Amino acid sequence: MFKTLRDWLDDRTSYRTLLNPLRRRLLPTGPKWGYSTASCLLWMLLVVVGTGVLMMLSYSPSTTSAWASVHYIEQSPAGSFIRGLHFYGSHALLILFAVHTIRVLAVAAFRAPHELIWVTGLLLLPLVVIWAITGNPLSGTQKGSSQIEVEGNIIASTPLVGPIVQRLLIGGDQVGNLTLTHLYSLHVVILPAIIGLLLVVHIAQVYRHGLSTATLEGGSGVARPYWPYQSVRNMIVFGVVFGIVALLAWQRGAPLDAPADPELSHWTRPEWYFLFLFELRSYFVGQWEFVATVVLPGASLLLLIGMPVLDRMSSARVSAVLRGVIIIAGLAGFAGLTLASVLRDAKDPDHQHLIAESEELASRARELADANGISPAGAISLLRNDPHTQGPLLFQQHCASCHPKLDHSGDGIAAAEPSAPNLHRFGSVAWIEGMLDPERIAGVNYFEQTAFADGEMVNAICDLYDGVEEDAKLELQKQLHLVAIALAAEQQSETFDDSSVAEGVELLTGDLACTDCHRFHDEGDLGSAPDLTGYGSAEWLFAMISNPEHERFYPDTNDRMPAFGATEDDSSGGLMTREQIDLLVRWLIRDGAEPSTDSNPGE
Amino acid sequence: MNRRSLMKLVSRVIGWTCALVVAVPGISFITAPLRRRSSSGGIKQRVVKLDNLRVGEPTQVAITGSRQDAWVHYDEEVVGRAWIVRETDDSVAPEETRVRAFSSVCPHLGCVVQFNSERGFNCPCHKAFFQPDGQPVSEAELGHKNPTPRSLDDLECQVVEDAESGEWWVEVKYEKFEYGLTTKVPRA
Repeated sequence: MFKTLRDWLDDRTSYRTLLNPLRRRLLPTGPKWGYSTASCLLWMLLVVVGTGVLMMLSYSPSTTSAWASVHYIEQSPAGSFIRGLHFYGSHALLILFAVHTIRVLAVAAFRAPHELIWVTGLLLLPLVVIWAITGNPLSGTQKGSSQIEVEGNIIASTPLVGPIVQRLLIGGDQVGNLTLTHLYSLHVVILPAIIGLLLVVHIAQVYRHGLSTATLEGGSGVARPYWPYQSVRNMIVFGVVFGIVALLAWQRGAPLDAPADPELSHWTRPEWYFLFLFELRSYFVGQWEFVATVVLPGASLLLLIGMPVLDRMSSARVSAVLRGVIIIAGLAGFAGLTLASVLRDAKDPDHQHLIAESEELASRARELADANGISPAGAISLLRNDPHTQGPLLFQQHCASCHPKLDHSGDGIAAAEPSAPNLHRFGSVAWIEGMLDPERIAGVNYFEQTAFADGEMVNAICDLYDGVEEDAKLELQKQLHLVAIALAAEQQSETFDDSSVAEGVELLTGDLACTDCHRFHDEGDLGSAPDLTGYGSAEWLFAMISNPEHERFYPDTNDRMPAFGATEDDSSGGLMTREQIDLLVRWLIRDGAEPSTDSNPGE
Repeated sequence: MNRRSLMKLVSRVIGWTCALVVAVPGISFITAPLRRRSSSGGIKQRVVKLDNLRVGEPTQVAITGSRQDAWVHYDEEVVGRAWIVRETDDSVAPEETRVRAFSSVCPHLGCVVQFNSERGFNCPCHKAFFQPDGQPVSEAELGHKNPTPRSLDDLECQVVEDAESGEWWVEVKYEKFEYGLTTKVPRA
């Protein structure tokens, strides 16, 4: 239809002559399925580059914006699919690369005059791996940041140049903004440029020398043009590979770990294609580590590069054995080491726990970002300001040596040495009722292992029941239930029936005489027992945790609880910052009452 | 020199000069991180009250400080963590209490060392294990090679009295050290 146009274009540019090597390419012994690995690699490269360019339109490399922009890509129409194609495509690229290299080695296609094709191809191998590695930390995740940090330290363990290369790559002492800009430049400009250059030489050589004569044996024997005889085979194989990649991208998407935070626990595993080196390294300890990380991989690559020479020096038979041994030993080594590493982690409950923990953080971060958006401070503040995330960590670190926080079925946080009240739903009606129950107040969930086990409160509750007859006991329990309601209302996390609260207040200031020892609003005095005004509320808990020896709580009778807050005249800070105590308190109150997103971003 | 070689020379000189004018500043720009050293010679900080430490229970404390990350300045950030180990109990006067501090950075490759009562100090990245005094656990005891090249890094630490409140605090001088070496070398 456009023949006139195409003729005009060809007259001005002679593009047909330029394309002739492609259009007229002939396979002397016909097409083969095996040839398709090369073409598959090229098409997959195109997919990865294309999706990469698409993501560059939305991606922003900095510690504050990296995770946020990747999350934004995930939320954009088709963004998750495009990122998935890029992610799984890069993995497919590495697998195809290995298959292609093994095939070329197996049929000795590196023989003269194809040495340059072989060498450029082998140089591409480490470059493509580095290309993939530089991409992982760009997502701004904790996993990526830990990976590049450990990789940087591995680089630094190389004698002489190591520390310099590490510093240039990381951009300073610590993974940070410059690490991301450096990796980004490497990932999208510098490495693609070098890889592209090598590819041009590689492919130009293939066209100049034709396919290796060694690979010509065993074709159908009849010369056929490349297009469409070979092309259709290429596309069928590529279609299958791409289909798998697309299916993974569509069904699973690329993973997005929790945002990087230097305060989060810091551990990592490399990607699957590096596990064998990770495992290999554990056999070389201390200063010998660089044998595993530099010498052995380098020597293997040199051995492969030297294959054309080794091949020429040996008889056909010796060469075939040598190639067979290299392929089998390489595959077995890779598989064996990878498997050893995977099995060791699978058997290690600590490791499984760490994985579960980071997956939970990741999904929580995404949930918070979806619900509340991300503040200008960056994704790092998502989890830092989230009571649901920080509460258990702070409790574990500061409270759980004495206080458990376990529900009836025993789920929650156990104490190292339970010796203080169980704080599960502290300040709720159920919790307070237990405290007012003579059977339970000196029990394991309340005062059993404390200085109060035989204290005034325990005695007062027991005295209440002393000598009371069976049917009057029910009445007393009803009264204490009302008191519990009145006190739980002080927490202000649930709403109660006004008349019950009023009745409870009446009882605790009147008949039951709680205010003989405790203060409650205007009744009673401070000093002898904890203040019941605002009992269990955020303000009350904050003050109590900051300083239990304050006049409002246990000025003289504090058992062992430390003051966690900073006192005003004390510049060096307390065990927890104000923000930390606030997060802990919000978690103590809200947890159990409501499950979902209750963080205030940017607070 | 004839006319032709003069023209060659002039072309080359101009070309290379221009190239150098770009390349030299370029190299200086790229290698800037090598010269930009963080100047902190250690942060001295009170980290925890002596009363809150118990023998046999190492306590992890956060070290805060300001941090510059390229174009971002963080005023107050956690810049590191340390494990504080109390070695003598209340029967010893506060000023004579023995306290040790270890950097929580694993001397192997820099992950964060954890503690639990069963396994002691351990690093989840490459399974390095340390005894309560910071020494590496031997290979025989561990059943596999201990990847750490040295013991946990001791930090300078002492017990000090707060002049106003009279409370006793543990003061730590936090520093970072190079990884992977058999000796403790401060990070420049």
